[in-house]
Amino acid sequence: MSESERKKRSQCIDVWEEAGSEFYQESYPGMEADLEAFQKNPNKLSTLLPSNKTRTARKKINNGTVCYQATATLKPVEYGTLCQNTMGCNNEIQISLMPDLSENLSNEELVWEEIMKIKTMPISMAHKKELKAKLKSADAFRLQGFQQLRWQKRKICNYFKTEWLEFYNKFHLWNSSLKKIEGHCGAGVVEFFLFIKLLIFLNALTMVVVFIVLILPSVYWVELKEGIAPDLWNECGSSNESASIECCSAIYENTTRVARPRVTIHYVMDIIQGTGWVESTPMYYSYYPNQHFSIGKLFTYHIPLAYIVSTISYFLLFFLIIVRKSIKGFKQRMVETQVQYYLYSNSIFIGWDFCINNKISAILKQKAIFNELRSFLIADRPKFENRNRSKQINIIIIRLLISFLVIALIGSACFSVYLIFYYSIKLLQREQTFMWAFLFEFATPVAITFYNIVLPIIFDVFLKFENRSMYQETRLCILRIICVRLSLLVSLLGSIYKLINCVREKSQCASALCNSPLCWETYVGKIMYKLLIVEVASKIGITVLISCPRSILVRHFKHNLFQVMSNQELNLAKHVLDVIYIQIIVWLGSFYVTLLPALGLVSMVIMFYIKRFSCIVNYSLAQKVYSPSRAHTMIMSMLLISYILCVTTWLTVVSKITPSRSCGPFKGLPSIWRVLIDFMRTIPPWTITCYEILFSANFVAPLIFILSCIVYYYNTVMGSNKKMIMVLRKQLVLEGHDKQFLLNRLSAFIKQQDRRRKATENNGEIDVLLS
Amino acid sequence: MDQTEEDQKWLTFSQMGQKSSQFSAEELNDYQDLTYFTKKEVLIAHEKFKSLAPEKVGHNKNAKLALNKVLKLPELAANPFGERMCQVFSSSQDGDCTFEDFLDMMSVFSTMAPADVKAEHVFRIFDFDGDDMLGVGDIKKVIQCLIGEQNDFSDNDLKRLVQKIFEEVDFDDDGALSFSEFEHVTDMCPDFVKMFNIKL
Repeated sequence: MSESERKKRSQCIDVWEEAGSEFYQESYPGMEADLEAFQKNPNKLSTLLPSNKTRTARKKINNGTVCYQATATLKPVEYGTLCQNTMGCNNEIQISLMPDLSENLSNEELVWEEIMKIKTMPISMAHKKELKAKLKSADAFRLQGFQQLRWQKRKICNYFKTEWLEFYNKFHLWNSSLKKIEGHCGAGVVEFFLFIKLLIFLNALTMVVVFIVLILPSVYWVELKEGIAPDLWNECGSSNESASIECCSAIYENTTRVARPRVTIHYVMDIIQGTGWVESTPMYYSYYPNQHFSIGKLFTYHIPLAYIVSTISYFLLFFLIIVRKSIKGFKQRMVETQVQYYLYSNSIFIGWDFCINNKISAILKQKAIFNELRSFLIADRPKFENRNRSKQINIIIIRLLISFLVIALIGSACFSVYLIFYYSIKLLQREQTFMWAFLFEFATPVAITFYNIVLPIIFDVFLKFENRSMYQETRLCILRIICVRLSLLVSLLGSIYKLINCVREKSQCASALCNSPLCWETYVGKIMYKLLIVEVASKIGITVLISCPRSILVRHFKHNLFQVMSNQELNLAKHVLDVIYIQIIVWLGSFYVTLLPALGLVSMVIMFYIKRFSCIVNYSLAQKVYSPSRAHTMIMSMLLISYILCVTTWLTVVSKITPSRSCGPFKGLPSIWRVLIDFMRTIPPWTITCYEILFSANFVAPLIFILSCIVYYYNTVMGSNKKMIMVLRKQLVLEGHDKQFLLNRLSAFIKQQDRRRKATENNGEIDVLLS
Repeated sequence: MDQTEEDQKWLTFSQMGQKSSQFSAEELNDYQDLTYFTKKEVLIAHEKFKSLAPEKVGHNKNAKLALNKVLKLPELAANPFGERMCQVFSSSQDGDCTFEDFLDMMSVFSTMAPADVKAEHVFRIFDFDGDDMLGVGDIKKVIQCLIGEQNDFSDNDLKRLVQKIFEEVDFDDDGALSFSEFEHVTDMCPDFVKMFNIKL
C-alpha cells in the first residue's frame, strides 16, 4: 500500500512539474489573440485578467484529485472575452478552452471522480455527455486489491446516500404544503412553517419520553394494585379535623368521586373543562400516587422520582435540540452581521426568491423589494438636522403619552384578570347552575385571550400616531405584544400563587382562608389546559370568521373603502408569537398535566393548517422582505428566551413551593426538589462525593474563572478577526487600485508602441518613396 | 454491487409506475451522473417538461420548445429573470430549450447544487450583455427586473443604487463587477443557496 501511495505521490509530482513547465513555456497561449483584441478595444484588458474569470470546475473536493486539478487550473481557462457580440461564439470558445479532462488520468477512481465533477461545469448537456464519453473511453488503470475495494466502497456509499435521501424525503411531513407556501410567500415564511414542524416533533418526543418513563409504568402498577383502602374516608370522617396526609388524599379522592357525572352532557363538558372525572385520569398530576413498586429485587420504581426525572429529561432534550437548531442559524447570521458592508448588493443580487411560482405573489414581492431599496436610500440620505423644533417636541410628547397609555392599558388588563380570577373562584364556591359554572370556569382564560387579541389591535392604531420609521414600528409592535402576553401570564400565575400560598391551619388540608383548592397542582393544570383550548379556539375563530371574510371582501369588491378596511398584511413575527405562546402554555402546564404535550402537538398541527390557510388564502403577501436566515434567527431566539423563562419558573416552583397535601406523588414533602435529594442519599456514596465536589466553591470558582478566561480569549480573537477583515478589505481595494494603475500604464504603453510602429512604418514608406 | 442489475430492477419498477418511460437505462444513468438529480427526479423533471407542451414532447422526448412555451412553467413565469434564464441555459442561445437544457437549468437550481455552481450561473444570468462583467447597464437591468414595471425609481435613485453597489463590492474600481467580486457577495450571504432554489 505504501508503495502505491508513493507511486501516486510521484505521479502527482510529475504532473505538477509537467504542468508547471507547460505553464511557463506556454505563458498564456492566447496572448497574441488577446493583444489583438485588446488593441481593438483597450478597455477590455481588465476582463482578460485570470482573476476576473468565472471559474469552472475548480472546486477541490479532496486531496486525491489535487494533481489533476493542478493541471486543470493552471491552464488559462478563458472564454467569452474575445468575441463580445455573438453568444454562440462565446459558447464554442468556452467549450474548446475547457480543460481536456481525459489527460493525465491514471486510474478508474480518478476517472470516476472527474465524471462526477462534470456536473459543476457551465456547459450544455450535449457537451457534458461528450466529456463523459471521452472520459469513459480513455484508458485507465484498473485499480487493484485494496484500492479497488476502497473505490467500490466509496461508490456504494454514494449510492446508498442518494437512496437514503430519497427514502428519507418521503417521510417529510407536508412537503407539498411547504412547496405551495414557498411558491406563495417565499423562503422566509417557509422557515416559520418548518419551525412549527420542529415544535410538533419536539412535543411528540416529549410525549414519548413521558409515556415510557412515567405514564405506562405507573398506570400498569396503579391499576394492577388498587391500593388505598376505601374505609379511610369513613375513618377520617367528613370533618376536616384530622389533616394527616392519608386523610387529606382520601378527602380529595372523595370529592373527585362525588363529582363523577351521571348525564352524558356532563361527560363532554368535563372533557372540555378538564374537570370532574377527568381529574382522576392519568392526564393529571393528582392521579400519580406516592408509591414504590419493586421489580425483582434490585430495582424499585419510584413514581415521584420517575415523575420528576421525566420532566427534567424532556426539558433537557428540548434544550439540546433548540440549541443545536439555533446555533446553525446564529453561525450564518454572524457572517452576515459581522460584515455589514453588503447591504445593497445582498438585497439586489440575492433579492429574488426563485421558488415563487405565483404571478400575484411575484408582483407583491417586487413591491416589497422596491420598498426595501427605497427605505435604504432614504435612511442613507443626509438628514435634515434643523427639523422644525416644535414639531419634534410634539412628536416626543405624543410618543411619551402613548407609551404611558400602553403601560396603563396593560396594567389595567392585568388587574382585571386578577379580579376575574378572584371572583370566579368565589362564585364557583357557591352552588351554581350548570351553565353558570361553565362560564365561571372559563372566565379567566377567555379574559386573557381576549386581551391578547384586542390590545395589539389598539396598539396598532396607536402606532399610526407615533410617526416612526417602518423598522422601528415593527419592532415596537412586537415588543408591546410580547409585553402584553407575558404580563398577562405573570398576573395569572401571581394570582394563583396568592391563592395557594396562604396560611394553613394545622387541622386543614388546604388553607380555608383563601379558599385554596385541595390539590393546587391539578388546579394549575386545569387552568393551563383551558387556556390552551381557548387560545387555539380563538385562533381558529379569528382566521375563519374574521380574516377569511375580509380577504373575500378585498378580492371581490374593488371599491376603495373595502380595500382600505380589509387589506391584511402578513406579519411573520406576530404569527411566530402566536405559536410560541402556545408552546409556553404547554411548557408551563406540562408538569401538572402530563398529557398536555400531546394536546400541544394536536394544537400545533391545527396551527399549521390555520397558518397555512391564512398565508395562502387570507393574506396577500408581506410588504416586507423576509430573508430566511433573519427569520430563522428571530424565531429561534424568541423560542430560546421563552424556554429559559419557562424553565426558571418551573425550577422556582419545584424548589420553593410546598406541594399540596391531598394529592400527587409529592404529598407531604416540603418541596418537590426533596425527592431528588432523598434519592441522592440512597445511591452509592461516591456519587454524593462527586456531587459535593462538583458544587463546592473550590471547584466552581476556578471553573467560572477558566470559563471567563476562555470567553475573553474568544472575544479577543473575534475582535482581531473583525479588524483583520477590515484590513484585508482595505488591502483588496488597494490591490484593485494597483491593478487599475498598471493596466492603464500598460494600455498607454501599448498605444505608444503602436504609434511608434506606425511611425516607423510611415518612415519606411517615406524612405522607400525617397529612395 | 452490480450496478447495472440494480438499474434494471429500478427501471422495470419505474416503468410499472408510469406505463412506459421514454428513456433508456443508459440515458438515465447519464443524466444522473451529469446533473444533481437522481433518476427518479429526472423522470419527474421530464414530466414537468412534458406538461409544458404535451403534444410535442410526447413524440420527441428531447423536443425543442419555444421560449414562450418554456416560460409557462410557473416558477419561470413568475420570475422576472425567467426569460434571461432560458437564454442562458438554451444550447442554441435564443431561449428555446430542449429537455436537456431544461434539465440543466433545474439541476443548477435544485437543492443539491452547491453554492459556487449556482453563483456561476446566476452571474451569467445577471450578465445581460454577455461581457463577463456586471457593468452599470447590467445592474440597472437587474434592479429594474427586481422591482418590476409597476414600480419605478427615478434616474437619480437608480444611479445611487448602482453607485452604492460599486462602493460595496467593486474592489478594483473599474466600474464593473467581475465574477470574483460577485462571488464575494454570494459567499457572504447566508441565504444565497436558499433563495436560488426551484423545487421540482
